[in-house]
Amino acid sequence: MVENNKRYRNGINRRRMLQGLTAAGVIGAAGCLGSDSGGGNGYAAADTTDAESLNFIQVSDQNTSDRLALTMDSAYTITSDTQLFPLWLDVEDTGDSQVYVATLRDNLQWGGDYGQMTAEDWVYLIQEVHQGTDNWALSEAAGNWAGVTVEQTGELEFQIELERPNADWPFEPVLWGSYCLPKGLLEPYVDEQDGEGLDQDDEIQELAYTGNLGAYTFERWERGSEFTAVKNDDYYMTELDAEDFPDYVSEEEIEAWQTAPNFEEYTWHTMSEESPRMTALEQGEIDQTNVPSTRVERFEGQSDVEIMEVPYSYLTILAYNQRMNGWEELRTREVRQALSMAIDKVEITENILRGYAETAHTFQPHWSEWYDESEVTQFGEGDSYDPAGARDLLEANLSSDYGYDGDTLVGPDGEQVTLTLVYSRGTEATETTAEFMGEELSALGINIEFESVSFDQLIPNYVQNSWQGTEDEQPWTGGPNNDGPRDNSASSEDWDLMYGINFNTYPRTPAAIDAFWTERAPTNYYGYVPDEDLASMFETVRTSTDQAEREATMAEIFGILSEDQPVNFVSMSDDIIGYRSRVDGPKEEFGQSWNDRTWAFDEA
Amino acid sequence: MATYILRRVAWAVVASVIVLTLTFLLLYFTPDTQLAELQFQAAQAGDDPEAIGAAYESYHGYDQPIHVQYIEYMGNMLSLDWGWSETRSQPVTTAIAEAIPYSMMYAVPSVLISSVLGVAIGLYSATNQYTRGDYAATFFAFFGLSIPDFWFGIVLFVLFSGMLGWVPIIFDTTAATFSLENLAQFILPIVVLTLSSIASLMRYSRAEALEYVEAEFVKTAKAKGVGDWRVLTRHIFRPASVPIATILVGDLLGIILVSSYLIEVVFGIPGLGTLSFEAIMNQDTSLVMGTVLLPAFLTIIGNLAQDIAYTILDPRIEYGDS
Repeated sequence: MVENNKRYRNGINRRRMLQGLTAAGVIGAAGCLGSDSGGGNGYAAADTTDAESLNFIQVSDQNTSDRLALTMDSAYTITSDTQLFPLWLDVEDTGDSQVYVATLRDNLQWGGDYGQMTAEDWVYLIQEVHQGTDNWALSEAAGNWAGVTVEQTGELEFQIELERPNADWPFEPVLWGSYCLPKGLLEPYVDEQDGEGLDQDDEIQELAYTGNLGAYTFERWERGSEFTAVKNDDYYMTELDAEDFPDYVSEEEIEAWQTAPNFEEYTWHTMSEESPRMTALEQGEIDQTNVPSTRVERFEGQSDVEIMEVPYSYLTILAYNQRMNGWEELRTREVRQALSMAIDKVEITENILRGYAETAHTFQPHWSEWYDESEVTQFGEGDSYDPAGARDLLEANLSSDYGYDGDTLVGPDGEQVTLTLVYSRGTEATETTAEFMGEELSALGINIEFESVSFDQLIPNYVQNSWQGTEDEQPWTGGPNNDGPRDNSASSEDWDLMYGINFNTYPRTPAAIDAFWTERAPTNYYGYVPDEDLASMFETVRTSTDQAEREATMAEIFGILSEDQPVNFVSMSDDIIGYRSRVDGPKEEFGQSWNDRTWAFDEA
Repeated sequence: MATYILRRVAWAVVASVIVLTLTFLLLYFTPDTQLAELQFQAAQAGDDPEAIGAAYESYHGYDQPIHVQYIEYMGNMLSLDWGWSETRSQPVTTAIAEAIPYSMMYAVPSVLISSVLGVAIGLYSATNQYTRGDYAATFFAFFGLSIPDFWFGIVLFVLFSGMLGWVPIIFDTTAATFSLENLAQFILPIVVLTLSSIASLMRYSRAEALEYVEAEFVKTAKAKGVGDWRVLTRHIFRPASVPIATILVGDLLGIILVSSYLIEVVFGIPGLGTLSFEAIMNQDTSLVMGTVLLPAFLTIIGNLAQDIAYTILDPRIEYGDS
């Protein structure tokens, strides 16, 4: 039998070798015919996730905005110097910061048969959709337009009257960056109050109505893979004269707008895996992508790739749970100060985040014009990083039944104090930072237990809280994230410290942060109760027309927050973006993409 | 046999209804994290989270009683209206229909290659037991079984794409199906998937064939002067093919469905695996349901086809019709 089996044997012979080489050759030959998408006059960018929709009424996330912005310019934008730059329209304060007038350009054309964009389109959209009954279209801007009176005052002009004066209104993301739809497209759905029908309309999903309103025209959207738009030769900006631009715009910039866009095609690729995305940037298959701080070193010394550190307005906090299911001592300001004093923020920003972040001490970046360093109290940087001082502060301010047994902080039950630090799972930097903070707090004699939770579970189980008494007893509610006074509302899962959530600090319109820092604020899930009447101070900032008073009040608020430490204001990470060096236009400044339609490839 | 087939089809329908009902109940009782995130975003913008919550529930019909939602859901399932994907802005059936061709482009070649080669090498290995060829095949099988698809995919990608530049980094959806460009972007996924599926088939075929290599009827056939090829194909492969068929449908389907998640994510292929993965990650409930139901139905149909196939492969199997 064994002898018979020899007939089936085959060794490695010349024929086998050739077969193997042929297989490898097929891969190679096929690869040689592959195209280099980033090599021509097409611009290719990549991010990790795709847009969810092209229906701007319901979705306003960054990915969707990035794609929509190619085909539609929006009402107006804000330059990196905080100047209002008119795109489709200009907006002016009539003098009292309560009534604003918007004036449309006269060369804006919808696609299809919808004709010219007029004030009627805007007023119809705002009144019937954003302010529609029961928010039938699920408009994400419904809250922005609540209580606002809009009225058409001319074919190309409409008036916006706010409930109360607000000098910052043009810089709030209400009309700024907003899009419009032709009345003719909306009407059938408004009549039927058919939100789903509107969302699923082909003209909405294929951006068929954008006409000459953007630098590019929609070409195709392969969900989960790529979004491509091609140059719009009818772009309205190219028809403008020099006098149509604001005075502060230079001749060079005017010319750039008049000849925009400079790319024949613009593609957004979706690449969820980090490694291929970085390789694509390195090899020139894409021109732009975000680079994690842990990957920046890879591009050092590469002349073809430029890494830009762009200031970002989001701040990462370590939240202290002052509600009934958090450590009760966290309600004492000095205890919170002590914990913040024991965590070295410089170590976090310089080593864990590799220098691509700045330390924070209040809810505003250092570079904001509203930031007044003289008002801010620091914790966790330089001399204010003081573990020994933190221990003294704790001993002096904890309840009498707490105390130190050697280096261990002991609670009323005679056991070491144990706090639960829950953090958002996902990035290496977040996990490392959470572990580092745990180690720092361990030096205070506190035992830290970690819980790693995905962000989508963090919100419903730890952030959202509910009133624990009867409905009759509930004095007020700030919504699902702040469902009543902290003594009687709690999240479904217990926690003491939480890390990994970033909040917008609104450096251009800082009064908007009242959504975080008053007792009844809708985002106050940590149960902060300020001693000062911050609500009144925010009201002053919102309604006053005296800029000096507004600045002084805002500085005072930031001072109080830094002193109170309702949360540990840990750091503000930069946006790290890698560009191919041939890309001419991006700058390392906040809001740098406001004029990205004028970017070009370096001819050299 | 007709009664048996009818009974099996009826059971497939019952199984489908059970799967659909369980899916509905799971979705109904699972907390809506999308709503929670929407309300959290609204709160940060200073808007009323409860108002947006109420609008969201009304918009999606979640404010209706459970039986109303269930009836509508089952009606939609029957009419193939599987809902609207919130994260892709298209009907779920369209999303699945668009994704299937991309998965087929590497799964079909992989299934064909692994089925033919896996069984062939398994038979070779069985009839050449303990020879160098058998050891080589065994090594190859264990290598394929042991090496993680995800890791192997990345290694091949880095080597052929990152270092050698032979295959494109970015998946091109505009490439013609039958073109060298498309072959270039699919060849690595085919290799990775084939390697993992060929290995188990090979080992299984070898084990099944070994049962018959020394069987009396094989020895008799050889004694009567039947040629090696005929012995292999008619006397060894034929009886071994029945148990092999069971893993062709079950294991192969499992390997392909599971591997497709990993392979498609690594190579950026917008197929069913990526679709399902993204749906789960983004909590797109309609799409999750669609991508869960599809393999469930495929499994039900696959098992049905497999049971029927037994009658063709082995006439001795009875179904109790008489």
